[in-house]
Amino acid sequence: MNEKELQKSIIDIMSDTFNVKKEKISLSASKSNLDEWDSLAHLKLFLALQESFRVNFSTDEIDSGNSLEKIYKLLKDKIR
Amino acid sequence: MIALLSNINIEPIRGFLKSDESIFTGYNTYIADILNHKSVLYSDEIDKIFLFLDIEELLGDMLFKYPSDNSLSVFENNLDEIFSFIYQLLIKRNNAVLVINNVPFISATFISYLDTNSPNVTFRDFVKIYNNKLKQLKSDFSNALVLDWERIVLNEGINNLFDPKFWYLGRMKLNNKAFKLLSDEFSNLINSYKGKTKKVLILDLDNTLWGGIAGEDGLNGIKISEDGIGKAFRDFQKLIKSLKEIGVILAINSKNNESDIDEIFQKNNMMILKYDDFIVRKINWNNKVQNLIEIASDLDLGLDSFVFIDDNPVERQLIKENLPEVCVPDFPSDISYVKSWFLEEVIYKYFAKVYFTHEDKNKTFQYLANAERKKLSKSLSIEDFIKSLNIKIKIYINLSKYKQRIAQLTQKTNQFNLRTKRYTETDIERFINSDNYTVFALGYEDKFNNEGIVGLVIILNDGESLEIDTFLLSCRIIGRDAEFVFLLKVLETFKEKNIKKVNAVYIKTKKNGIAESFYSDAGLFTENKIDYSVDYEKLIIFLENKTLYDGEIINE
Repeated sequence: MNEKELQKSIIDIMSDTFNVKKEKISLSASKSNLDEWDSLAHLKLFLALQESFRVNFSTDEIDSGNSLEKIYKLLKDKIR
Repeated sequence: MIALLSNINIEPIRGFLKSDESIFTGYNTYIADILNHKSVLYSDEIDKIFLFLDIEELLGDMLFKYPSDNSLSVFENNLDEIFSFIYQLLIKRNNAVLVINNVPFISATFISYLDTNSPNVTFRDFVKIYNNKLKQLKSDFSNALVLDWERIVLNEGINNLFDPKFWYLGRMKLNNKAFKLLSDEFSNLINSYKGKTKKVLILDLDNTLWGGIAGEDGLNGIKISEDGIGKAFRDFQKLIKSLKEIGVILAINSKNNESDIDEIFQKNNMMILKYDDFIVRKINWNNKVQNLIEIASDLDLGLDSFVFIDDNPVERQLIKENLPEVCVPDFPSDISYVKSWFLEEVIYKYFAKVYFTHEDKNKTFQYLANAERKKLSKSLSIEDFIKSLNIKIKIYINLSKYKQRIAQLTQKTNQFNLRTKRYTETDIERFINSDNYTVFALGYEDKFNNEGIVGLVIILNDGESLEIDTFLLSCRIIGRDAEFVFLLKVLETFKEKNIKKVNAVYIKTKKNGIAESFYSDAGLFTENKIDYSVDYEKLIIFLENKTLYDGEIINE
């Protein structure tokens, strides 16, 4: 999966979890600039990411992964 | 609409329950929701209620101690109480269906070799007691259905369904796989309850009901026997026979010479199924799609009542493409798996029954007739329930050692937070050292759990009146009146200070709707639903009458 594809799949999952249109999720989306991304949605996002990519996140990673960019970085290392 | 109740956070299951709207009432608020007749549970929109109980949370602190006769009886008493609430709910909502899960033996409980080697009480006994209560519930009510969570956990494995880090991050325990399986099982159970199961099982013959091909291997060459792999086909036939006995219609759709098949049914004494077990038999060289359409018209049933079983993937594909309403499960490529496959993938999915007879279904009404003078005579009110919790409230005044926890509460609490002011540790330290501000931290403990510091009040005293700068409570303890005890005890500490008035402000946010009526419920007045105010003495009297238990002030 290249950079674009990975970002796209993350956005797909976000859009599903947050119930937000994909166009509304920019590459700079983060917990602080997206209203729907609250603490419950945050956990649901990581539940969905774990399931879709068959990976495991640590508690610290879940705590710190509060933007699309950070999640991308976390995932990139895991699915390589 | 489905109401989801639980002692853990199961909100994400909503995303998987696609067929129906659903609402999750909140983490561990199920008892308060049942007792509060104004809660969403009692609205007519709700026709299905799913109560998911996690056994570890039911055990509470007992989980961390080795079990004894004493803890077992405490547990049973707690359960009796919880089940008396569930009984109340079932009676009041006899037009809704309640689904409740059984529980597996969870390895995270305090286990050792003693669990299997001790003649005394072990955690397995706790699990048994809970599951037996469900059996009783089931026999008393036909609108209560038990969801077999134990079977799911057994099939999938605890480690594939539970993810402890989400428990610590957000009081969730299950992963998405578990949420998916639970929601599928819930929907299947409801379908079955509503009689939406399949009615007809249509079977191919060669390599499906027996091994080999009738026209080539002949009467005695086909594999159906008590030895070797022939036994797998016999087991399969036994299961099909018992499906017939619970009312499923059997039919044949097969490409054979009818005379070969007649002979097998008449003369092969290893066959479990007899010719007459099949209501309709299409044994010919026609297209199976056409045969199936004819079966539907012979039986006068819609295609969506059929399940078609065939070992040949080409035939299966043909049916799937041409008659998409028919269910066509894959057939195992190794016949050794036929028994477990048929049980899980066919019987469970398409033919599982909730009731054996119509009499079972009418039980609710028999039960209702006796209910009033039986269990309900001692039914508890929400007040009784709160009293029975043995709640111990401790209020810590200006305690610097808790400043980190207090600041964190202001940062993280979004729901029961009247003003949502965020403070840092430095801010809290400043309040503690100031002459006008007082910081009150709330410690909460009941017979199930010690929750630690779960609430905060910051009061500004200007000499004449008290201003409630901050009032917040963790959602974990909502519905037990702790907020009123907390407010009363806080205000009482100003008794000698000659205070005239108490003022407060409620600032509405997207998330704090739960606290909207708090100040009015507590006895303060408002004209604009933002600013609240009342005489100090009046408020004390109001709260003294309202509260059901006391709290302890700790002034170190």
